[in-house]
Amino acid sequence: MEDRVNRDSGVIALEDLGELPASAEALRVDELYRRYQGLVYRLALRYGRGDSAWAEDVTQEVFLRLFDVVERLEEGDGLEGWFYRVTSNRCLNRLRRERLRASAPVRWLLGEKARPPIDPERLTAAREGLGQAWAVLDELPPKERLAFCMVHVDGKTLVEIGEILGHTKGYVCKLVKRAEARIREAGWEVDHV
Amino acid sequence: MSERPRLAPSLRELDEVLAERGMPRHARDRVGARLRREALRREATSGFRFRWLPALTFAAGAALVLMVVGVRLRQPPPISSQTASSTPTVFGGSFSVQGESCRHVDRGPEVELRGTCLLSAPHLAVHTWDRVRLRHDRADHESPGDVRLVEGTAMFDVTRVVEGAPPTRIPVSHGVIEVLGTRFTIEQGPLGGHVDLFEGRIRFIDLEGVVTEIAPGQRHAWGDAVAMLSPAPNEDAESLAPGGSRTPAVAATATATVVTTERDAASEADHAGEPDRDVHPPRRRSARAEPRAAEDDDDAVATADDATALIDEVGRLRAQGRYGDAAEVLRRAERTRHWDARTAQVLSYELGEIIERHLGDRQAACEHWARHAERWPQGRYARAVKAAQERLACPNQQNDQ
Repeated sequence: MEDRVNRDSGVIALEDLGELPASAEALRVDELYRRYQGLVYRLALRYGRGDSAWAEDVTQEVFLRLFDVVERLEEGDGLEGWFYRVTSNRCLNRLRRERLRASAPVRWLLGEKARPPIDPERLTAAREGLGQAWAVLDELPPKERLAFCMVHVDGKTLVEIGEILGHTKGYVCKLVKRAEARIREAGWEVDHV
Repeated sequence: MSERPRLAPSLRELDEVLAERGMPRHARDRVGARLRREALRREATSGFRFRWLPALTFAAGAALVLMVVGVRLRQPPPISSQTASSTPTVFGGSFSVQGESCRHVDRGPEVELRGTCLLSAPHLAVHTWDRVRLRHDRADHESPGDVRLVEGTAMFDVTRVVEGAPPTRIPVSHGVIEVLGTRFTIEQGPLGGHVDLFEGRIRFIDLEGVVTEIAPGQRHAWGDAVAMLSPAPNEDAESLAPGGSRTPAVAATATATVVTTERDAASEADHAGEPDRDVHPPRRRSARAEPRAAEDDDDAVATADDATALIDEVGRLRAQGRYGDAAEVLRRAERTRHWDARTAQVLSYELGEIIERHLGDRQAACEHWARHAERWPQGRYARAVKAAQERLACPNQQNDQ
């Protein structure tokens, strides 16, 4: 079989696609973006009640933050932990800010109307039960929401969550218990972990 | 007995739904473009950091004194100290799969990976972050190391290439990718896909035996993905905020260059009648950097704010397709401001890119690249400039050889 060299067909420079950065630092960020944007976006979507614009903003913030630390990051599974931690904390900060802004006195001061609730079934139109689960989660205070999901969805230990959120194991335990109590009050069952 | 629904399994199922959907393409592109602009901004302004060197030295000295008198500075724990708890799982005889949230389903010679996974072999590492189907292709080839990407996106890192040894081969739907030591990403869909090469050298051999050599910084597509292979500037212009994006440096093929040039030439023609006064000076200038008459301003020292404002302005003009104006702004900036060496290189490279790719002026591009190469023979863009000169078959380049 004679190989014919084809230098044209189907080939384009990545830069013409707007897909390649220049410096080594930027290249590294680009590489990590390709690898971890799915993880970051999924976490943000979970905590952002399925709001894709919200999740996109968080994803952008996380990877912009990456520029500051990319030189210190080392290859390995610790990277995933870093993205998990930073994304969770970004989500928590945003949720707290939004909760504050959504409070009646602040809305009155800012002259804003109450925002309509985000339809939690937008991503799960075919699965009503999932949409309801999301609505229950949305009722929890931000920190309890994160702690509950980290334990019951991601399988993190209380110590790990404490390291991520910057709290003691005892306080994290209290957050999780409070969240579980609220969820039970809402008519749902919570497994014992 | 309670018949109440259980929340945690529902949330886990919800997570699976989100993971399968992934980040939409347009959102990925928007964030990617924003990151590239940030990279450029940092690159252009980083040179100014050195002006703070004396202050930093003083601060370091002060910190040392404080330490000597007994103040202990607590260092934050290293980011990389977090470790994964997962253990590798072997599949296909010679491959192991691991990752903290990596899930895999073995189906004979095929494995489906979900989450962030690392597939390792003695000569090859495959990073995956979405749903990916891989197949151990021992039957098709003699080499025991062949991995077929059936579906999904994966980044391949070929770590060891022995001189004279047969190249690693990665079969895809429309051919085989031969790897000669490199780092690249393959995205394989049901009817086609593409490979993005970052480093090293690979070649694509299609089912009819046609070989396509792929250089670093290039994408090669096959199947239905070929139809989507078109340059992105206009898409950026629509999707980005004012300020636009910046396309950095690497070699391009003749085809890609011609496509870009033809379209942008048309765009240039639309703006050909615009007078020079339409070329606005960079916005967000500091008071010191207020625009002044060009010719009597030779000694003006540029600040980091100037660099940022200039990049924003050039990005905005590029996003509007006003490449001639963007080039003029860069030329004027080169003439009228004294930039530090690092920023000057970035601006010069940017100007060369616009002249070559968007204005399509080969002679001017050759002259510009020659000046650039003469000014920074060992500069950060030396390889890219050399590649550009070769691509354009610039006379001085030919003489060099």
